[in-house]
Amino acid sequence: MPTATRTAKVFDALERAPHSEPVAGGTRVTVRLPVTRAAAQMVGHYPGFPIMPGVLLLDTVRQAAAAAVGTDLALAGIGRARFTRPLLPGDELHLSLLISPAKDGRVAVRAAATRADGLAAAQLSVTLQEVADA
Amino acid sequence: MPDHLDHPDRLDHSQVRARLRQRPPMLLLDTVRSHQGGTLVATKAITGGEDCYRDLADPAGIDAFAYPQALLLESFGQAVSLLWSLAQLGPADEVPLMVGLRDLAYGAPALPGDVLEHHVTLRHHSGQVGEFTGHTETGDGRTVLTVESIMVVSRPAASLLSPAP
Repeated sequence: MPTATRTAKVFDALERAPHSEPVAGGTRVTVRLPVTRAAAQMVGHYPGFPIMPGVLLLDTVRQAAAAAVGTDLALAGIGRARFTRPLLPGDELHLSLLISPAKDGRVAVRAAATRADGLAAAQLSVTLQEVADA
Repeated sequence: MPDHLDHPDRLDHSQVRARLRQRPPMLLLDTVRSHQGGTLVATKAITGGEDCYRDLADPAGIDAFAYPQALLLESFGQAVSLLWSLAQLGPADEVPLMVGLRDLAYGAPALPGDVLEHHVTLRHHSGQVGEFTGHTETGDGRTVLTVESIMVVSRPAASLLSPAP
């Protein structure tokens, strides 16, 4: 049975807490997830040729950063994002995040997504902010 | 007489669905309110019965009902796809895929009861590539999303099929 959530959600990207370690300039977070975690959404995106929506990759970055920081985070903005290769059923996504402090209590995240075959899938630069208690 | 016959620049939901390849739960656009050349206004109504609210704990304050930002952007992207289709920027058997974003800002949260209005403008088009800009506001004038640049590339649907195992 699904766990009740504090906020609306699209999908659960994380099977377990992501690995994180302090590095120069912030915290490095790494995540691996099978694309099939987004299977319910891929049914409609698209029928007959399922592709993991790029917005779910974006939400995976948000979820991984929130898990590493230990609080709910929302997107404040996206500086730049490039989606270079589609993520298809059977693919495994490898995500590497560098989380660093930003202005006004926000956090900046630079993320690189690669497929299990080592090819780049996306690069993202986003700003996140803490979600006020509902 | 159906409204869209009086106003050929408008699309009802059946016409929107005929032009988009997304299907539930990822079909996130309802109507086109206006379209002219390289501009479009499309709508999406948010309701409390949507799947994203299924597991929300009770009781929940209204802040918990903020519409997921990923879905808000996907809905905006589908408005971009519709403009791609209506402006006949590529063949009908191709699918415009989002390949780039620049300088996107989220504003006030969108909530159940809001009707999102996506305002999209074509900035540049060359071959299979298009760049668009725009924003999303609610019916009562709150800006929930601004997008300086969203790039799409059109790909033949057949080229996106998963390889056979």
